[in-house]
Amino acid sequence: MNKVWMKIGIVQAVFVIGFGVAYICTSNADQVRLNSQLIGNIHTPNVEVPRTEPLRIPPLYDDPTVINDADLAAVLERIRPRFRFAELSPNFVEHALRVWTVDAKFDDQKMLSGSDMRDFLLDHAQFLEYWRETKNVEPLLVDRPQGIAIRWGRELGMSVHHDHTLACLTEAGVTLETPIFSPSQRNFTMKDLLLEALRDFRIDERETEWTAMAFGLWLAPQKQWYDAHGRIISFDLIAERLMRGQLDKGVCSGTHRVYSLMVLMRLDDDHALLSSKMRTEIDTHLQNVRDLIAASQFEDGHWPSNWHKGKKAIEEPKKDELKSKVIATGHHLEWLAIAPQKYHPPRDMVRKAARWCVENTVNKTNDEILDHYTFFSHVGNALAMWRSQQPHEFWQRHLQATDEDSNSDRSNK
Amino acid sequence: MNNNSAENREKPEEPGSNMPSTLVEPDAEIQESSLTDETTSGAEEIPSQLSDDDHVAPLADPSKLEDRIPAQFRTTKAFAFWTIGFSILYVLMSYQPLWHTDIWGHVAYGHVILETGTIPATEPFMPLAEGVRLIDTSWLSQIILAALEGSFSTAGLQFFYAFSVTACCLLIAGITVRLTGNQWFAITSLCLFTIMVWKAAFVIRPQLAGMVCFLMLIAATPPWKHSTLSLPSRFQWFLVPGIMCLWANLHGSFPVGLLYLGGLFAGRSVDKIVRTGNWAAVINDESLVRSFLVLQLSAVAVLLNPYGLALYVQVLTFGQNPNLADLTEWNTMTIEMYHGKVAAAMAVLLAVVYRWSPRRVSSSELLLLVGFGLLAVVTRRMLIWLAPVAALAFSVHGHAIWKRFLARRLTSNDIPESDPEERRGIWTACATGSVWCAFAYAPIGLMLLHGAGTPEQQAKRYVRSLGKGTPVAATEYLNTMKPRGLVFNSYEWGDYLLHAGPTDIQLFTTSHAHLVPPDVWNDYLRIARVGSNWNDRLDRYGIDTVIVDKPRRKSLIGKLKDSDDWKVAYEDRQAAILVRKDPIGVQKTEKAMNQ
Repeated sequence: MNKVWMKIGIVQAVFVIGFGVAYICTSNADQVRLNSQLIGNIHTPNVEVPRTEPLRIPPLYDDPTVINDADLAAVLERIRPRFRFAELSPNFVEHALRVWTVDAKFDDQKMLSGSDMRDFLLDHAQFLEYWRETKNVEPLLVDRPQGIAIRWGRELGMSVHHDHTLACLTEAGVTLETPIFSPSQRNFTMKDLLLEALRDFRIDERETEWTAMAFGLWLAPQKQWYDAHGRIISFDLIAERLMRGQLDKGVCSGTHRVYSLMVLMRLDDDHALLSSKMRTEIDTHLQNVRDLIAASQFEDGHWPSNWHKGKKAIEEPKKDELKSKVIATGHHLEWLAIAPQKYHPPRDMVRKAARWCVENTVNKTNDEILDHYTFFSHVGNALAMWRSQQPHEFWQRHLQATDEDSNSDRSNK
Repeated sequence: MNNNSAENREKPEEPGSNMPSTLVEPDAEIQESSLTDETTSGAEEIPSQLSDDDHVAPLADPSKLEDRIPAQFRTTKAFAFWTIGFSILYVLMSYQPLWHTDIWGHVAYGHVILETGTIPATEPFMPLAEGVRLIDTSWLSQIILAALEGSFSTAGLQFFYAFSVTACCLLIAGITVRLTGNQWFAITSLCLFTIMVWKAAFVIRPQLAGMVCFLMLIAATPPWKHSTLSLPSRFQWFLVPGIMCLWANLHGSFPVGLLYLGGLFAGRSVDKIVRTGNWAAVINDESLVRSFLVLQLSAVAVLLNPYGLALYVQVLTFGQNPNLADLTEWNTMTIEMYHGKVAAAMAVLLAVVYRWSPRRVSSSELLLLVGFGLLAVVTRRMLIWLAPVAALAFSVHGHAIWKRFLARRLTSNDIPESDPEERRGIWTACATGSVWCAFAYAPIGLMLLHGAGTPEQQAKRYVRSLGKGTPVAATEYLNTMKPRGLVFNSYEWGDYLLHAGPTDIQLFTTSHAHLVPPDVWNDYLRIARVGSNWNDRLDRYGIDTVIVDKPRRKSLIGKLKDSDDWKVAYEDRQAAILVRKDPIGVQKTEKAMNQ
């Protein structure tokens, strides 16, 4: 019997040591997978966020020939965050926040300040203030066992696009420690929102534009990481995904994809996010976009929604609504503002586009603007970027200048 | 010389005998040299020298010749017949056309491993699965397949197939003969096994290697006790973990082996406890302890693979992959399916033999049958693992019934004493000859003996070796047109296109569906089945070329033909290739420049 017990002992030792060594030798990613299978741990990508404040992509130009101060002020005046109180759409707030940033302050109490907008998005109690009269609306913030997420989709009270809230908060300069108050928990921060975005991101989902931008602004110079399913996600892969398929197949006639690609290129300049092969591909792609928009601009300066068809877009014009033209023109101006000159069509085209934008914004009523606030917000942002201006700073200066002028007028009188 | 010699001597003199001397003389020499001292007692009757008239030597009666093959190499008639049978089976299987689906993918993976010296860490062939972690559960099989294909082209793959199938049948028959001692029940096992696995197992893929391992495991540790089959315990310590280690590297089905070993141990423990009424009896039974320890060692042996513990994670979570729900072979078994009908028929047969069998039914076999049966119901692909256990169970108990029947019908005098069959050299010669013929007439043997032949012969042989479902002509066309960008293809053809299509082809999917990201897989189905926004998906992926099979994708082909954006580039009875009139790839790179 002793012999039997000896065998049992030896085999148990082999068994324990064998599996122990195997576990130690298993890669981290596989250990996480194993843990999630065995003990139900939810796998969150182990990504280090190297900063507490997001990177910013500063505009490259200050060209008053594209837009002068007066016109810029007129446009920004139209797109101030002056929303209806009840059932305030998160989509409007997100767009306003990315333009005006968290530092925005307005004398007019009807305007939402940057911090108001941030709190609307990140504090469930604030969100409820605007939605308390509405029945059956779900909270914008979603508690998940592993973190905090944003409810998105087409229903009332939702953000419209996946990770759009995250991207807008990021562009607005919200820091990683910013607290988030969900319906049931008060210990989340912006970092939890980012980690949850990393966890639920799928490279082949329909819209990757905002995720790409947010990840770039937070994670650079990290080039790649494992997603929740063990797949290697890299900025190369994201860029490839942003270039895939017909050019207009993307949000806002495909222009957000171009903007995100330009953001990645700019980040790559400083943080080497991309491989040289991918950088070359993006370069070719953006030059092609340049040629297409150069060929597809209409005489009045607007770009059509089928800009990707190049000259054919003019020869066989599409019956675009005004909002489609605003979308295409405003968004193209926006990415061009951060693009090196090699990706620009002739500057006259930019001027014409800016002029068209100004004319079609300042003559709109508040209600007309409000109906399509999201599209006009891009126009305002684009024009401010062409002057290398932060809209809230420019607006404050403009107000001061106006006050001084009126004071001096009064004193002169 | 005896009388027989005299008869033989006189045979050439019979009328009509005009055997040419050139043929006969050597025979005569052999005949003379074959005679032994004992048989030459009448040697004086043989003329020392043949007269001129008698130059045609007489033939000897082969049945009277002395068997000069050493005793240890002599075999029985049954052995010879089985060998001939398996040789024929091997040759027939060697000429089976290669199935058109995943074999080519496995070969491609094997080539990558051989060329790079490492197993790719991520999916190497599908652009849409870039970065997807690859845990290659069949890496060793793939290397073998690639090496065979590299050396012998399709003949090498046919060899792998024929060898594996023959080995499976050999093992099933061998186990049955060992368990029952009855050749007819061995044939019965073979038939039942073949019927059960016909639609699933006999497709060339690494799973066949897994099946061979499973049968080796059953042979090493059968659920039925039999003195002739029980291995000495010292062999079990090494043999069983060795088989499991090999299996884990050949194919991801190795958990079946661990389940089998676990089932054996659990069943035997139950039997022991029921018999003794004492739980402690399990620990006091050395053979039971050994089977548990062997199970543990097998579980450890499985870790000897390139991925270690990750292999367990991979195979145990494999079934959770949502893409598999769309593959019929992973679906739940229903009675409408061939598999369901076969499984139901087998269940009835087993119920009958268990009802009448005089043999004690062990808990192990019940556990294994029920366990594998339930697995097969959940996923019909698992039927192949039930098949050998069920076939052997039927034969073992069928044989027990047959023996009781004979015992009742015949008196003890009527029952022939079991007389071990005579072992003779002639049967060894027959067996050896059949093996040689099988080798020589199989495609790989022909290549080895006669060379690969001219390029034209090789091309003909290649096409002949492919299954009917293989899109040979369409692929050739694709090679001439060299498609740009992503190509939307029928899932079933992805692997062949990878193998025989343009070298830089970018396929939407291959048959390794579990590696395709679920979003991409959903889009594949949406396009292939012409679901909502199917054409939007084609635009979003930037697809300019579509190659699909006509029988299954009629709707898609029809829609594309009706569309203004697409035109037919190639069409035959089997396949259609459609291309975008205004290619997206060109739009991106050339359109603006042209304008």
